[in-house]
Amino acid sequence: MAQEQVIDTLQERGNPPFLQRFIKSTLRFIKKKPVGAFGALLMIIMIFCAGTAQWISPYDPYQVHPRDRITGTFERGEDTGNYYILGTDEIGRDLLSRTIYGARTSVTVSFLAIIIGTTTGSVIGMVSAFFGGKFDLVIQRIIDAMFAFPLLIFALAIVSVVGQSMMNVVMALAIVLIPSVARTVRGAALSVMEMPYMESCRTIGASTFRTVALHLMPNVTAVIIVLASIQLGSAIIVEASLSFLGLGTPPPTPSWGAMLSGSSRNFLEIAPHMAIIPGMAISMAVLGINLLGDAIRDLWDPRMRGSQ
Amino acid sequence: MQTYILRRVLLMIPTLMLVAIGIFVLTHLMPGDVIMIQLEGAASFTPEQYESIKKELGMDKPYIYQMGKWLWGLTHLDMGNSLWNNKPVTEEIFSRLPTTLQLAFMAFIVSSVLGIVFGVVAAIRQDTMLDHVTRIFAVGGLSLPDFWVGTLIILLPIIWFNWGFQTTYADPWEDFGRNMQLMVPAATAIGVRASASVMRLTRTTMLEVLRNDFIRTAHAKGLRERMVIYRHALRNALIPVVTVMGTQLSRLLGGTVIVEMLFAIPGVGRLLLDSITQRDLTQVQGNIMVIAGIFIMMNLIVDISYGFLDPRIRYGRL
Amino acid sequence: MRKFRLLAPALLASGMLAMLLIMGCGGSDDDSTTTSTTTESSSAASTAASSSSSTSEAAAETKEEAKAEATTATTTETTSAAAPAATSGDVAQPQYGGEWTFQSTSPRIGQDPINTTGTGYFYNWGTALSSLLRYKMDPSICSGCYEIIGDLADSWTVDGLDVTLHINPDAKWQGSGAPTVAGLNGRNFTAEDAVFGVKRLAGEGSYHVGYWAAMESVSADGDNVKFKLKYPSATFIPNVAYGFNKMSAPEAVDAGGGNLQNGPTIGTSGFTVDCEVDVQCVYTRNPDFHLSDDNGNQLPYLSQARNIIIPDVQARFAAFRARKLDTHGITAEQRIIIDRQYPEIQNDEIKHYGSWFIHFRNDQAPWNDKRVRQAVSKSIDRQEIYDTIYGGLAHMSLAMAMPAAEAYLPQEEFKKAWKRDCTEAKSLLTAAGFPDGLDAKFWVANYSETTIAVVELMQQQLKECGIRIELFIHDRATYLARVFTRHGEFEDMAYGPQGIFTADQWLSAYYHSEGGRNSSWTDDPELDKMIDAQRQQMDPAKRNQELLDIQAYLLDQTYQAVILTGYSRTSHQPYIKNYAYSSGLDYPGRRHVEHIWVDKDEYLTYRNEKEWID
Repeated sequence: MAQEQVIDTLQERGNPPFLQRFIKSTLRFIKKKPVGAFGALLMIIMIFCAGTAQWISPYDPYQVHPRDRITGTFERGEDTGNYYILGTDEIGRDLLSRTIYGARTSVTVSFLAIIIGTTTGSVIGMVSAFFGGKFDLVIQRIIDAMFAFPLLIFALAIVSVVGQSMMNVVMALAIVLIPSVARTVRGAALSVMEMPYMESCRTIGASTFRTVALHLMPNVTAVIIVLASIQLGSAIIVEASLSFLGLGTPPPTPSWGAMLSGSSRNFLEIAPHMAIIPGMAISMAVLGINLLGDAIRDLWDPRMRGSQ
Repeated sequence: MQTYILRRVLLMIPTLMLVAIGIFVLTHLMPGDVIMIQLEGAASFTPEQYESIKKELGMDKPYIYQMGKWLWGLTHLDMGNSLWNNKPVTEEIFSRLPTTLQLAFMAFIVSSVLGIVFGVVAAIRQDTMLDHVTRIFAVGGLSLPDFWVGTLIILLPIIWFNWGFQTTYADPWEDFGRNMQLMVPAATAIGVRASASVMRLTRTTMLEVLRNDFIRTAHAKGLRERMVIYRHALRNALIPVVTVMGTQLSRLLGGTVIVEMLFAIPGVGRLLLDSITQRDLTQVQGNIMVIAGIFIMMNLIVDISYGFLDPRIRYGRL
Repeated sequence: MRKFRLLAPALLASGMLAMLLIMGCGGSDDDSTTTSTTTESSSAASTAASSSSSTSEAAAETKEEAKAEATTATTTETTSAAAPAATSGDVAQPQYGGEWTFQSTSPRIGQDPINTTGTGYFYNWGTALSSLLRYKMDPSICSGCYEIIGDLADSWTVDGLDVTLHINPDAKWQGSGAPTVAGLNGRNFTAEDAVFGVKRLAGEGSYHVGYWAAMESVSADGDNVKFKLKYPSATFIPNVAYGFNKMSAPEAVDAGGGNLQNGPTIGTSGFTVDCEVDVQCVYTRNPDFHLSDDNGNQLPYLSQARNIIIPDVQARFAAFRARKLDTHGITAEQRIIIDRQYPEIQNDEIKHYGSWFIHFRNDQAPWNDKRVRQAVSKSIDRQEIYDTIYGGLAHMSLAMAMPAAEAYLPQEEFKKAWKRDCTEAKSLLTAAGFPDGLDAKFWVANYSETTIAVVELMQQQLKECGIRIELFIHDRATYLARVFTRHGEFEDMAYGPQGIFTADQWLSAYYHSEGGRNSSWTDDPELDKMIDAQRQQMDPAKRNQELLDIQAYLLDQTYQAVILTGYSRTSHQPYIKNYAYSSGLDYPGRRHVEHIWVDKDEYLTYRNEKEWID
């Protein structure tokens, strides 16, 4: 759809400046997919927070103010007199700053995990589908075996083996994602391979690389993107669950998962804001990702054209 | 068809073997060991003492020997004894498996009922307020981690009514009421989250089906709306949903870990988590193996049943 | 319709926000008030500290809270529960019957007492067993001291290298209610049984060999058990009474096929036990129990006790509030809620000597320099940690349970030595050759959220004094295998817990160069000599003085930096009586269930039910 839009505009208006085109298609997207646009807005806010955390957060997220602990929302700390918009946690760190920095952690962890996991998975899936035969058979058995591990347990085991650090959590999440991506992409690639144009490619003697890179890949990209958008949300949730089991992003790095699952559960009644704020952040992020993902799928999946 | 099934069953064997090797490698790479945890409360111990315990547990043998023993044991369903309490691993797993199966199945029912009902409603009322509400709630459900939903289910009744859930689990045939008191909230905590994806899928396929010619024909015949939806649309829309739900049921088996811990349900997931923290490696191996085995089996059944449900599927290159 | 579509998502999102808020607040419509109350009460009231899961839990199972039993002090204004044997006449007489429910870790553990060192066992299967001697549990015993009394043996004599125990003629193996084993049911406990039990504990495969290191031989002589020692030992009798050293029956071991890993569990205590793994353990009164209270009433009072297994802290607290649990180990935050909403609940806070501390690599530079270790210790504001995270409830000690109250170094000494002083820390660092401060790696044993909070606070305190630490979080299993063992494999520093041990055990295990837990690579010949000397010092007063000297020496050397020693905090329902005991020293068998009783009228009123087990 997006491509068609661009072509439409090009034909109608000559060649308008990029910005204008961008705004136009954005507006069209908003009009067509308001829910998706709302999701995109949430995502933009999250990425903005992640990117500008050091400038927009009011305090140092690591700075402990023991005597300002569990200050409520919109209150001043008893000791320092700092104004905490979203209150403080059990050792007096500013929750707003930690939430903003937490966006950085979440974006880093989930996006990196998705990029690594999806890329690896897609390559495996496509290559496996393209070559077929024994190669495919072996790869598929390995993928099946990986797929059979329970998701959370697999991540848990990997983190406990390699040790707890942010990059290791990313790697664990990525590895966990590979099998499902590889399977889906392989399925999609197989159906693309049946298409007449792939046959033509082979007949005219195009190189393997050319066939895969220029013909196979673009045609499964839609599937990959949709898949990635759905997995992105679950990556955030799995990270939070790992934190709940004590193996998430290590402290003192602010992470939504750790904020939601750590002490805040103990303070649920006496300082509910400690849990609500990171909980809301996770919800909003996952909500945004999923709504946007749905919209993208609706636009890109040819079968869904015309539906909302 | 028969050759396909036979082929798939045969292919399961190398997959299971890979799983078994993977489990062994993963568990033996974990730092820490069961002996030091058992000795935690001892002020002092000697290296000889440590070695003798190690020998007693069979942990002094080379890894390759241990792996061979594990793989050989698997061929006749012997997974060794737990390093923690010396009971046969299989005995512990199979005594708990029914509990987890019950929980997973109940969660599955919760997620299917919620998912399909809301999915259908959202599809037939496409682009109305109702559609938006259900969709946002569905995604909202996806965005709440189950430990969080579980915590709220436990805490809210006590905060609001000073009422608490049953604390001790009972098998359903012993005390059905007590069993349900724990299982229903636990299944809800898992099911609500899982329902989101079912709902989204139902909605999508339903929308697809509703645009088909035979639906138009049905309308043209003058059938009532309700008839069209339930008789024609829903039936066709549910084929992909059912297959996804099959996979989901097996996924749920591994996804009960946290909820079993929260609600104190003595299931396989909790056993697995405990075994990991105690580094009871034989138990961990056995547990993951059983969960993975069931998963692989379920997937096979789903794939085969897919062929029965939808004759258009070709079995050439699967 | 078109406009509406744009508006809908926004409306919905805000609706959902509101819903989440309501859910999260638990319907409290005024959450700012709630939090400010919290802040006040946490600073004003001595609301407490740690999840006991972090302090007391050193040697315990993860997140196990309900251990920790109680002492003299009942902190609330409610009627204090006193011992039935207490002299004061205004105290209610103990009643027989009733049920007590508590909570602890899973009984998914081997049933053999010689193969376990975890409290998990001793609160489950181990409750059915007893030892030859025991520690007295009574309000008259001060916190941190102990008195040994008889159990299976009713008297003992020590004569140089000869120790003789006389077996209680009333002691019997459990009959009705216990698993049936031919030849055992209900028969008397004999001196031969004692010899068998001791030989098992001291023999191969036992995890408790260390307690019997001084023993040369053991034999039965009529009603007496005679021990021959290798060297005079001040700690032999305390070790006999130590909670791990439970007696097992020869017939039961035979029935179990040479061990007791899978039962049968038949003991000599006041309760027979039946466990449903990961669900609960049920203890039924043993009508033939050999001990009585000081008024001659046979123990135990309870008809039944139930140990319910709830792994999650929140679920556990919810069960306690719903009166489905009678006692519960609570956290500082939970205490606030109890004070606010449940005035009838009674709280106990007792000092114990399990600790959290920093290990140093004493064999490596710069940690082999005393000044650097002292600088770390001086940089940490312990009181701030206690106040912030433990609600003020933590105390300073070198984390060893001393044989007598006089052997403890007074709190003032610690407060003086451990007062935070950044300037001095910096000058110590400069003197050691680090004028610009120091970068170090810091291992953390992640036992609970509380640990993490403490470490985060400590990181900032150290940073302010020029010591920049990088945190490496590891789980319990890794900590135990890599750090909490002889010659720990960590870099620079490690932070972790330690169980409750007697002075002799801990000194010889941790500080002695030969010790099995010498994780900080301490090698100090002078200290070794002092440790060996106190063990063989049979004069109690002289031994106390030697222990005081060792503590002063350690305080100066700072081979390990003890950050806090904890309190056990438990709450119990008002109908549970005689719950308060001195923690004494018989860890891990600290809780003597036999003395607890339930007030029937209060029980029925509070529980709002008719059920009463006679």
